[in-house]
Amino acid sequence: MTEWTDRLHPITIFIYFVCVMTVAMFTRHPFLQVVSWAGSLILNRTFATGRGKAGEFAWRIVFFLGVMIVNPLVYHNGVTVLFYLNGARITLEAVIFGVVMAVTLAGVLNWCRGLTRFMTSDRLIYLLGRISPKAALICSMVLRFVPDYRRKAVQIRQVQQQLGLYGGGSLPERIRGECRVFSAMVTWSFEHSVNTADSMQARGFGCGKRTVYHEYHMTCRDVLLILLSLGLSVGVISIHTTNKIQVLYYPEIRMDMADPWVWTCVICYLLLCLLLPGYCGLRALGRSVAGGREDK
Amino acid sequence: MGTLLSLQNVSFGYYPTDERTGEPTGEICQVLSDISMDIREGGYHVLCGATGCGKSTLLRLCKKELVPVGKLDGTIRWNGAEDPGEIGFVMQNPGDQAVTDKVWHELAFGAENVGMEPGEIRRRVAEVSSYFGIGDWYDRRITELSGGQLQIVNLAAAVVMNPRLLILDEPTSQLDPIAAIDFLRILEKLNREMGITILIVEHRLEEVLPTADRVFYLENKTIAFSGTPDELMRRIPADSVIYKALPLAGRVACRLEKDPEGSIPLTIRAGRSFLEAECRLQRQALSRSRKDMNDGEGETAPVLTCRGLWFRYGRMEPDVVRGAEVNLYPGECVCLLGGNGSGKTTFLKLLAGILTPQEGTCRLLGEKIKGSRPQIGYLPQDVETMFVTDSVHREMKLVGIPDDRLTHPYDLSGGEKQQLALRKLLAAERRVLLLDEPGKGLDASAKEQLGELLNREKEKGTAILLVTHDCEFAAAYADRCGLFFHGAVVSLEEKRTFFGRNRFYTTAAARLAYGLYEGVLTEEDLYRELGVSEEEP
Repeated sequence: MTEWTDRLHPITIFIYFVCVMTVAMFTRHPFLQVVSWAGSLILNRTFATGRGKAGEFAWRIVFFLGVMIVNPLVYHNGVTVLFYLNGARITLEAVIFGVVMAVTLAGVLNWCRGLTRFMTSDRLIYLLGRISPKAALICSMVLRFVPDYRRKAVQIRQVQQQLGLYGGGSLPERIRGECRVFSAMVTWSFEHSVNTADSMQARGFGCGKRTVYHEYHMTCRDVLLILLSLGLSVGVISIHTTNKIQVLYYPEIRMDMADPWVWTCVICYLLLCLLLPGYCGLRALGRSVAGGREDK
Repeated sequence: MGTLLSLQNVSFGYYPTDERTGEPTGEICQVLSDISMDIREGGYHVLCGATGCGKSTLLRLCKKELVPVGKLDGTIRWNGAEDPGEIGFVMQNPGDQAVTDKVWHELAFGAENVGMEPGEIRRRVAEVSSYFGIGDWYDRRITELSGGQLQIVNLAAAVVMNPRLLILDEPTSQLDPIAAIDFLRILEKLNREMGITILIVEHRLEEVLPTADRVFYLENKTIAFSGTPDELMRRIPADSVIYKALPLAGRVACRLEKDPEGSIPLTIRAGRSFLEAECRLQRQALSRSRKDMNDGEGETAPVLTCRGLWFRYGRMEPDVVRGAEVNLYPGECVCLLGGNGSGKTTFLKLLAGILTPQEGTCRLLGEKIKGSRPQIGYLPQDVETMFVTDSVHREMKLVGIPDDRLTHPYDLSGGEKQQLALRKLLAAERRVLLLDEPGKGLDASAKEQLGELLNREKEKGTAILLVTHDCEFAAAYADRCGLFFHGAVVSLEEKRTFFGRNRFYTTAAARLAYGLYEGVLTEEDLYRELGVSEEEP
């Protein structure tokens, strides 16, 4: 995924996702929700590498259906009764509201997913570094040590198992074995972090004010993307907060379809949602055109 | 060239603490006494000495930020700015030194600490990464690098700060021979092309002495010798602890003539031309019949057999072990040599039962084995993973052996750790021993101890399979050797045949004598061929 966004500044990405997600989280308008969901899907499916696993996908569908079903079961407002279940009214309005809720959640989850993929550790550390260089360093160190610790724990467990000291039988035995592995790993990490501390000191850590090195530059396209994100989201939010578009689900669904404000708002949000996928798409296109030219 | 760093009458002692109470005992444990040495600008200095003789302490005294707590006398004069970047320090363990998660960040770390401007950092990082040829790993995560690559990154991270002196404390002891030589080449290049002064502690004297300008030999807490490598070769007594580590070519030359004219050969190339001259003089009858090292193969049944082992780590991953087969007979030691990533360690883990092969069977004494295998002992590469308690006493109590020492296992030296791990392993009766790079990071005497232990086990009838990079060790203690390549055992032969036929994977003595004297495998063989008796110093 970084392939298409590696030239973007972390701040651009951060602002973009904040803008998109603010709207996605607070609006209850079905059109906006569908737009958000579709946009997030395009982003994740097309430009993010590392597809989710099949199990994860199934889990999401279950979750989606769950939200859809639970709402009409617990909420009995609404005028259009579909049928009675154990004497409780199941209404069309509640079903529709359930679907909208499910779409909202799916959209927001997808955007979060996009955020974690586009906000690489390097970008995250840069943003943290703007606030506190120390926090950024700690974050970077944690990212380095966690995989190391995990690997070491596996090694210790394997060796102890082979030695027959890990206890294969009863639960208390296994717990004792696991505790032993854990304590060995903690010792190991302490022992080795002494060397890390020495290495930090040897390279002048703590001898003055730290700078934060990064390789990001604000370019025209960053500024453009930021301005567009902010402009579009301010537009959407201001139309929204001045109650120009309103949706009522209960007791009866009431939505003004003909109002030009609604369509302005939807189009603004559609543009916003397609901003990053569009950018990635343009770059991908540009690259393939350049590649084609080279082929000739 | 001026003096960059000078130590005058430097003595150093630790304040030891009581083992039981943890209180200081009030005495001073002297580590170094009356050390005087000069580090000359632009020189390549090698510091050598036995394990635990205070080499590391001496190096740390040279770096202000790392001076250990203790009683320090004498003067250490640093002839330069007091900037931490002026002296770069590279330590033994590659993994411990890296602080951040990405290679680029690691390179920038030192420069960030001293508050350098990002623009300046970018220039230096770019320059150094191209010089070191690490452009390809620049974006990689630190945990994805091999030990050798990581150590090069550590060196580069020190060089980014523009040092005048680089201090290295056994930088290659955790690396395999090929990575070690790569590392030392880069160091040599830095010294020759950039004029960066180097002070290095290194066990691989064979590799560093030809490049060194000056050698310091530390013995009995003080500098016993300082001079050029040539002088060292001429003056060092044969019973000295580091004698065995010196370049073989030089030792052979000194053994042949007490005080050879001209310079002493330090490389295999120089040694071969020296031997060629010698060979022309002698022209003695070649090659007596060698006694066959028959270990009774075919008569006894193998202890451990495995047939057609295949293994991969994940469904979509490539095969790591591809149809490996081996027979282990009681009382023999088999060595598998091979490059990094050839799947040697995985193969051992399959035999040890830590991993389960997707195909193939292992039989112990003719019976198929499943699950745990108490009769097979496995020594991991990192012996620290064997220890789970905080003292030697408790560690041995786990396996039912009394030991009074209250020292933490991590505080032992490399050799002692290995011995402890092996004792823990051998507490139970083992029919088969599997050792993963047991000689790594050990000095000559610790290796010898290890070899003796292996010989004792062999006499008991234990079958030993070890995986190593160390041809010399294999030549000295193995019965059969094989190359592990591309996931399988290739050319498993009696060791004389194996090393005799190999051109690259063979001992220094064999390389030195190649084409001149036949059937030379170890140093002793070479002396025998040359007609120099063993006892003569």
